Amino acid sequence: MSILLDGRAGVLVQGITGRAAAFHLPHCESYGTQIVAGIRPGKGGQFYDNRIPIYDTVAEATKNHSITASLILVPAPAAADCIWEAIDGEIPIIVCVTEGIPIRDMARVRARLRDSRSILIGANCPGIITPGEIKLGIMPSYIHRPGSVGVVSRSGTLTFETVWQLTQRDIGQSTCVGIGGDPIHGLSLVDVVRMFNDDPKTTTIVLVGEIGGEEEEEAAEFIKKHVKKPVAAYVAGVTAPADRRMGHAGAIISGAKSGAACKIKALETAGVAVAKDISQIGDVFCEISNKNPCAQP
Amino acid sequence: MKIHEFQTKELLARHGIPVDICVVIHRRDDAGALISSLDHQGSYVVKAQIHGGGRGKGHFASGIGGGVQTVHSQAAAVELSQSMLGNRLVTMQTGPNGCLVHRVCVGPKANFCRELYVSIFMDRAAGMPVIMTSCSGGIEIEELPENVLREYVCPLAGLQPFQMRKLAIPMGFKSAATCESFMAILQNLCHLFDETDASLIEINPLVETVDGRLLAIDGKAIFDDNALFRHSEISALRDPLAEDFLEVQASVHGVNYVSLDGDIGCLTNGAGLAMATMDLLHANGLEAANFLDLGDNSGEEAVRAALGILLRTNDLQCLLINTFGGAMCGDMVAQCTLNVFAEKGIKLPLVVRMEGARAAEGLALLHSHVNPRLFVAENLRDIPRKIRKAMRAQ
Repeated sequence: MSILLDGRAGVLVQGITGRAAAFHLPHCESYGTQIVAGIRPGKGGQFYDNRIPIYDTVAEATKNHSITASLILVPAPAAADCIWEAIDGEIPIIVCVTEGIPIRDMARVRARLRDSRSILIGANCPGIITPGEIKLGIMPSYIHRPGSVGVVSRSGTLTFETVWQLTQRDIGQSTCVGIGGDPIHGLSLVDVVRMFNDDPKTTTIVLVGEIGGEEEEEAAEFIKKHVKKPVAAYVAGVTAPADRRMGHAGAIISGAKSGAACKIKALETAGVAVAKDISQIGDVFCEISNKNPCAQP
Repeated sequence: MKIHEFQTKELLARHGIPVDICVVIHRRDDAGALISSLDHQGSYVVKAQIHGGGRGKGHFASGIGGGVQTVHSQAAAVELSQSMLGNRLVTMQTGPNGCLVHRVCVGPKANFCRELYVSIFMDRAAGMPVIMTSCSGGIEIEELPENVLREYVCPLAGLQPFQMRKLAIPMGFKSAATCESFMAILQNLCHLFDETDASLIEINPLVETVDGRLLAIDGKAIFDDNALFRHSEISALRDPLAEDFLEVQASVHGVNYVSLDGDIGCLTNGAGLAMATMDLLHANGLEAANFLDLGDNSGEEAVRAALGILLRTNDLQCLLINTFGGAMCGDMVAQCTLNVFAEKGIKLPLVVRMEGARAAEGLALLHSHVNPRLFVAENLRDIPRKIRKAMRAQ
């Protein structure tokens, strides 16, 4: 496996009867993801697609199945409760795709996570994919290919863009992780960079950041000290005006450090090759990974 | 969501935090009666109510000084509040056009011996709220960083009494009673913050009067948009007049929209791609007219609303659609766009770049549609080229 998940993981889906699940689960299953159970309070005892058992509570599901990861696909008002229940059920990896969770709920979830056995990815994220093995999220399958590049991003669509540029140049990915666009979330950029750095299957790292917060600066600091693998990056929001929230709840320039220029400078100082705009991330990657010349799309 | 100063002070008062007395004037004709109802001899403070900060240092387009002024008679207060109403106040946060003033707050000038600062906001790095205090209020808090004290509030347990003491004792209040009331303010502020899903509440200044009372003279509050669904009383405080008209329209349809200064209208899905598109245009000598994030779960209604908003933007030279769908289908976006252009007889050049879910179907639809003003970009790098081509063809 690369990081976090491989194809053997048994997956629980919270919100298995909802609209989001109806659209995304067939894509996850056809990618090879093993969905073993689902949660929908009030529909316990029924089956999803006449195959997958539905439970009222996570506790019942974990009693009956070996579960490595949970995918949460519920509306925002119920999402924090679902994450909390998954933590309570000691599910090792929790992926929450839901956008729009109140920040107060996420502050409480993060406090709860501290002494738990769980890792949270998201919320407000595309999820995680280990190409060729398992997909737990909403990313289009066709843009990925198995390989050795670790991709970590705060933005869903920019993860897709980055991965697609790599795949078009015949460069595969070890694991792609979207950590989410909310101001308070689970895994941080540094957490994922550290995992890629420790992962023998990952040879190079691509980091996609955006305005708001200081995670890119922290990642830069970590890379400078500990990372020997080549790192390429892009930071969105060079032209974003200050004090305006740019879609993501977390994408707002509110201090000297949260603007794109400061993040780019920190990354460059750490030896990271930063793409000037998103259309160049593939080429910048080729330059640092000695894979010259790259096939042009 | 931002609210006005007078609304913030009403909330503070309702949560046991003392505020100074004032009247809120909406109409010029009411100014005289409302101000005389204060029954005050002496100086008045007249404050324009807009969402942008820096009101005191700002200026009115009509040349009547800043947005916060002290005057020394009732007549002067009436005259000043009347001339502020209906005028545009320009501050460093409003942009060059400023904000139209619909309300003015007038109150007796408070007599105080010193100004303090108190705020609570969500600290994203720590993942919890933080209370910040300073014994030098009334100014930008960053100006005297050595006076700033911070206490993080556990999201599960709340503010603890020892934390209140740590913040209150260094303030050096003369009486124990004032110290007690400061700690009560901290506690009430925390409750208000938590109960209303606020992301910032700031009291600056909180003044200490000669007789040892504490009063909130100015207040600012911002609430978490994602939590408004469970706070109808806070949502009701929204002032659409103080916000950009198109941004309000967009939010009604769940579309994230921010108007910018350029002339290329952008329709994208995902906040990251929307920002990256602005950056890409800028790097190639073009400027986006807006940031627009449809969200990835959007359906036809959102796409139609987004197009409607973009087409109402002034002086647009070209429309760009740049999507990478995970859940949002390319053929839906393409069909919707073709329909809207046909229905409204739009002559604007259109550049489309599409990837992700059902993008091939969407592109096939666009290619089958003969329109000399429609250009399909092969990839991101092709976007600026196609925009130039589209604008030349115009």
